[in-house]
Amino acid sequence: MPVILVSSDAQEFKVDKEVAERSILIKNMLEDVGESDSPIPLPNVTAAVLTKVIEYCEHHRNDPVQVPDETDDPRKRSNDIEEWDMKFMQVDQEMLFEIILAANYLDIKPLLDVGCKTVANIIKGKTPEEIRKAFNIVNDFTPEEEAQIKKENEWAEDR
Amino acid sequence: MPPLPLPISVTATAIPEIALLIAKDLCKPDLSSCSRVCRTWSHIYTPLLWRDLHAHVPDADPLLTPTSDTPSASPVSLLLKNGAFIKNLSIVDNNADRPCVSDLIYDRPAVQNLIRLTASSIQHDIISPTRNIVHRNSDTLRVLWLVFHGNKIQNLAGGRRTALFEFPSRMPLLQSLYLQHWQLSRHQLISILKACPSLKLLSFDIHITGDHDEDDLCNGTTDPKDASDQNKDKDEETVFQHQRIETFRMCSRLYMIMEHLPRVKLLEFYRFDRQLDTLHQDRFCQSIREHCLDLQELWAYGFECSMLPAVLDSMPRLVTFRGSSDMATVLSILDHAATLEEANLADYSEKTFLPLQFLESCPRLTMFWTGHSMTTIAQVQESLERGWVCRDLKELRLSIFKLSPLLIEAIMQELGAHREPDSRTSKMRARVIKQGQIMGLEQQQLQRQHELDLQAAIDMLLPDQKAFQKQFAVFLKRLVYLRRLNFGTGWYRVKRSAGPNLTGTNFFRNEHRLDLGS
Repeated sequence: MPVILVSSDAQEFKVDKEVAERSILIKNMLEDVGESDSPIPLPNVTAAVLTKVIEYCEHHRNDPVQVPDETDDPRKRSNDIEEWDMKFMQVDQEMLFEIILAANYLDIKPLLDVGCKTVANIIKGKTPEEIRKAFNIVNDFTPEEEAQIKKENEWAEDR
Repeated sequence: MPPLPLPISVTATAIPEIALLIAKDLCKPDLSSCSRVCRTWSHIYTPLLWRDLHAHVPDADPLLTPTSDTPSASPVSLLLKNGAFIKNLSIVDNNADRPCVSDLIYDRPAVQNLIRLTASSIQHDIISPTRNIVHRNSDTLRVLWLVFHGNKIQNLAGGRRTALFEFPSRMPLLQSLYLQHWQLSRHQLISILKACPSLKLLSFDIHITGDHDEDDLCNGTTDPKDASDQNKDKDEETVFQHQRIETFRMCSRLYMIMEHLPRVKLLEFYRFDRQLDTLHQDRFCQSIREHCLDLQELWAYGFECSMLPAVLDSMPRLVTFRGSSDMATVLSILDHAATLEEANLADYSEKTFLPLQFLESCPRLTMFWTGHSMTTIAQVQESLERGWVCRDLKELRLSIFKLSPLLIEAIMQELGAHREPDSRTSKMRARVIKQGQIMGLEQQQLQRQHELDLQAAIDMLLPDQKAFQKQFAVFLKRLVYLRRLNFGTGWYRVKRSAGPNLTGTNFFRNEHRLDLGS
């Protein structure tokens, strides 16, 4: 039975139950409500973002459910992102964070993971100024504060 | 001027779970850069920069050798400011020259929120700072790992019944406790167990002094309990049982405390380098039979195999076995065929071995690993005819004598299994994709040629090899939960679109023992 999801801008999306249940939030909602065909409102997610999220859930509909202790195992936790996921995450940085927020709200752990890994990959090896540029962030430190924090962090820098 | 609205990159990462997930993949220099981006990120990432602190002395530790001479960036003031952010602290300290990082960090009052403390190679002159940091963090610690330096420490600590320091009287959250090169009396040990009601894992390489002296036991002259000088608490102590501890890694001398650990599920032998004599071995097995009714897992790496059959025979049931084994051990494991779910016998080194018997007789087996075996193709064929009962098998590592890499590849192809990328090739691929490079034409052609050659070679297989390829692959397809396979040339992953669909197909002639319909 398909499930109807409604985005914050009132667009309706019809998706398979199996796909919608990739979201633990929706899965729990469906379990609480029982059999019902009333649409599920998602006030925190816009249509544009929901389209992406559904695309992800469609692609991963058959993935085994993540076992918590598997992700804690450092040997199994890799930095590698699957090829499809990597392409899927090639969006502008604003959309990237929208997807992360949606994944967090909808409780889709694998999508949240892959989103955060993508952000980490962008950050890696960059200077503070380069990070600001990549993420559109304004430097709000005073020059004194900036100098101070630089000194305090010296122990952690590459030498 | 009203403050500018923060961009989504800042608001999204201000959510602690998200910040933590991002930080998980970043190294210290990256975290440092993040904390210098803007004020909000500074608040988010400075604690994450300090969260995990690993210091290895005498390798020059950067925290100890600040490059600037600004007082506010001195180690002491940095720790005063940020010490409370440290959650995981790991210190390996081999340095005899003081002062060093241990003194520096252990005695900072701000370091008071530790969740995990790993202190290796503790020297005698920092016992007191070590005591201080353990006591200061007794309410928050979940994992505590204390390894003293060598064996000298015991002499330095004085008499036979001296613990190195008094343990906190209560550590409510402590779940894992590792003690190495300690010397404790049973009384002290039980006080520690009482102080830590949440303990789940004990890993001890310690010496219990006082009662249960090994010599007394060997002579069989003394009732071990009489030797105790803790008479007043004795009765209470003998009946004390810790109800939470499920995992016990122990060295050879410690079986006598098992009566206090009735909930132990997993027993791991650790530095069990000495074979016990018959009397001790009997007592060991007896204590398992009497006190460890929940015991179901045995990890016995680097363990003296000759003792294992007796231990295994004492266990009420066996669900998981990992470790060294010999023929007698294997037979004892097979006695637990009805309950066995996981067996890792990759250490097995003898030529005679019965891997197929496991597959034929352990109905609950989900993971089975063997090392080299002399099992032949003909034996496998006979085994397939008899059928395997382990229909829930998920992971199989089976070495088959004279199964060529080419035939393995052919079986995997037939099965639709693909080689798991090892970490090196997948890293390379990730880098290629990241840099937006497309594989060079030449490389593509090489790969294509390699695939064609492989296919040609597979087509040239002898008829009986091809028959085995088909037979084995078809058989393995019936194991609908099978996900990983290794016949000695590395791991392959079986891709299954949907498991249940396969159960309906009727591939195999001799499937009476595998029949899922019954």
